[in-house]
Amino acid sequence: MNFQAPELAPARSAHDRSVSLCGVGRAGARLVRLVAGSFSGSAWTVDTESEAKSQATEDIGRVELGERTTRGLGCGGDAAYAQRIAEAEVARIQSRMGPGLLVLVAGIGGGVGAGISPVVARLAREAGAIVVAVVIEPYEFEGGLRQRNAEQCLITLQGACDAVIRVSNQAVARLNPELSAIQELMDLADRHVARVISGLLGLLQRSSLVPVGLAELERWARGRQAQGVAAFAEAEGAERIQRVWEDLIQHPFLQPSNRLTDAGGTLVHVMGGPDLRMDELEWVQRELRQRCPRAQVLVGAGVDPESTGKVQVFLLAVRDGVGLTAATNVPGLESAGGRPTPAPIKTLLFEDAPPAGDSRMVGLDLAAESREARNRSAQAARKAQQQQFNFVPPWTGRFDSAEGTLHQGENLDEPTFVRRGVKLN
Amino acid sequence: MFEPGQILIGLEIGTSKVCAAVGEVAEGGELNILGLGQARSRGVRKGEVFDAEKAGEDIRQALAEAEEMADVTIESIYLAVTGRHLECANFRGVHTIPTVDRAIDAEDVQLALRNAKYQSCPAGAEIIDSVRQDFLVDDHAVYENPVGVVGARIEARVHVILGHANRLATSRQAVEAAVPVRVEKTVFSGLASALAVLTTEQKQAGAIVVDLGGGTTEFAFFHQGLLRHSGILAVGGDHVSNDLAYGLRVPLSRAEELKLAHGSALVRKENSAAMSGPTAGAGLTDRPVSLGKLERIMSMRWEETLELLALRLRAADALRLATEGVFLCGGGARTPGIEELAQRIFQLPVHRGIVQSVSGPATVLENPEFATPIGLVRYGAMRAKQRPRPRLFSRLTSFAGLTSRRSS
Repeated sequence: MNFQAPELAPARSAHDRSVSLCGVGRAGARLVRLVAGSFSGSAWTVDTESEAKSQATEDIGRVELGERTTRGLGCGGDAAYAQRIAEAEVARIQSRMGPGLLVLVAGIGGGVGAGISPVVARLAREAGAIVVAVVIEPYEFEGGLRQRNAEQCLITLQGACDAVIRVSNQAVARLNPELSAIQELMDLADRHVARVISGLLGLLQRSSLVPVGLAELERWARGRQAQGVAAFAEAEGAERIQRVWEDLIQHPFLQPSNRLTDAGGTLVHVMGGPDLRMDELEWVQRELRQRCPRAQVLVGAGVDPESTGKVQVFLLAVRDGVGLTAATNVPGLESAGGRPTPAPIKTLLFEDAPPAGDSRMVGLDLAAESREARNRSAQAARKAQQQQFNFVPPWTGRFDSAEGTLHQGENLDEPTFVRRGVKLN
Repeated sequence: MFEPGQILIGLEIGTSKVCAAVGEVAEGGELNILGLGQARSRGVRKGEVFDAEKAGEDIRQALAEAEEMADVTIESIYLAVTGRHLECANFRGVHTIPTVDRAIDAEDVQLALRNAKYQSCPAGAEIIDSVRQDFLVDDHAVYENPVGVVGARIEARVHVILGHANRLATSRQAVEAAVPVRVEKTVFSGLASALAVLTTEQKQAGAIVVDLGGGTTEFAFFHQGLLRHSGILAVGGDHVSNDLAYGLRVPLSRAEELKLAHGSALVRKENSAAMSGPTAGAGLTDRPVSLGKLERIMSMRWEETLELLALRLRAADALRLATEGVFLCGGGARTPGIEELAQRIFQLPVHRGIVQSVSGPATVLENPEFATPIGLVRYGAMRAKQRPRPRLFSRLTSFAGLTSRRSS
């Protein structure tokens, strides 16, 4: 193994990277309350319901919007209404903004989450912050309005944020069919999301030996309008890293599995006790390289003296927002649950860096890994990729050779019903 | 005013047909269509020539037919252009009057107009047409004609139609290489159709003309007698056929036939589930095509196209000001149900555009497809009217051979 000495920068102190956490809407506020205990930065929530006041705690700031217009009743799922309310009281949101990094948490099925979170994201970016949104997609049973809200909001957020991390409640439900009690299921989903958020915050806040933090995330996410998925897992005892990895790759938020294979960039942060071993990191690095052959890989590691014997791994897989054209509901590109996946499919590969050996970005350099081994793993991955990569080139028929007619990221030459994802039969 | 007996020719190289109209300015200044020639277009896609050779053949055929019908020799033409490279925008230009307290004169107005036209014009672009809107004097008062007003600063607002210079030249070249004629002027085809379809009163009150062409869709909005806004969308009837070919799994030619025979811009209830109907086409097994599917595919495309237009018209405040409503022309205007759909989307009265105050064979005038070439003729007549007499006269001498009636 060949270490690049300058990469092992001295750990930075926590206040260098001011991270703030903002929950928008009911779900956002609930999750912020769940993770606020283990978070040391400033946390605040935005909502429109005076009912939420009773649940607010002292260490979490709260901005209530539209007190007069909604009379404390909320927005009733109307995202456009919520957006107007937020735009009318921009100054109150702005007063909370600062540079640094803002982690925005919102359930985007609801009116407040869908309508206000893009406004908050935009204001934060105007204030010089980097915005990473963690958005919770609604359950399927929640109905058409909330699904539409979510789809619409995802598109706007992608324009307004530096990165969007999607977590899907439905994925949790799908992977735990035996859990039929709705209360339990929702609690489980909340816990999953909360762990992802705290994993992300931990990554950004705790000092690390091999840091991947704000600067890396910024350089990586800036201007790409990336969209990603994240997962968090922990284990202890023998073979802990292997078990943690198994948990991770089967994590509901990373399903279907091509979310990893198609990723353009992955970030792994391993947090362990003082007994964290080098070979464990290498193992993670190797596994990840095999699973995401085309991704730019960032591995970070940190040691927490209190968690001896434990290992916690946070994984973030991102694909760029560049391929939005093919994103909208191409038939045949449906996730396992039958719901169309609004995620971009056409990702520009190798867009800004070949996967291997970019030592500037990768905490551990791969130079020592033999070229043959790398080729072999790349070949293996390529085989797997052919089975998993459902890329359907847009069909434009007689306009195939003509210059496309682009409108807001869509090629109008493609049949309308295809772009709208309408099934004819 | 203008010379009666003057012969004007309009040529449109459309995506589905090449069409030429020969018109004559009659005694009272009225237009009379003498002849029309058309040919199926094979060298044009999305409104732009991509195969000059084939386009040339079609142009020759159309012009020859028009010449024969009108019994004239064509020497110069007005050429309609379209395509997604065209851009229609409202530009502003400022001119400062050097001496204080001087009345604005015609030259100041011209300078302001020139600034408006050329300062915002990007490199490589050619101005096809510009229409002056109004003038702001000292940032507040609005005048239609500011000559004689005292002020220090005059700002002109101009609606400009720009095109990519080389791509415009390609169209001109295609004509001039194919036939020995001179292209007098290129005209935005959306503007030409509007000129043919709207009466003076409608232009005054506010009206929108939408030309649903084969490869492109153009719109022009008139208010208070002036062209206020225009634009183009590179989506047209071809896209409908293309969608049908894909969705119904039939060849393009069959999709075209199905569109003409059974097409509709709306989904009619009785067909929603019907599977019986026309078959996929000759040479194939007799696979029935679902009429319900056909209508759904078509209606989605038309709805989207009109909605995109509505979006742009709304941005220019045209939907509020166009009290006379929307006039549809071009081949797409024949689609059953399109008027109802457009009415729903634009929230305005929608009419089929009929060529106005022109005399000629009724079959020609009532045909929505011929609005553009006839509009070109009208454009030519209007342009001749605006020109100073001596220049007009010298220009007309080139028509001497064909304007024998002028001397009588």
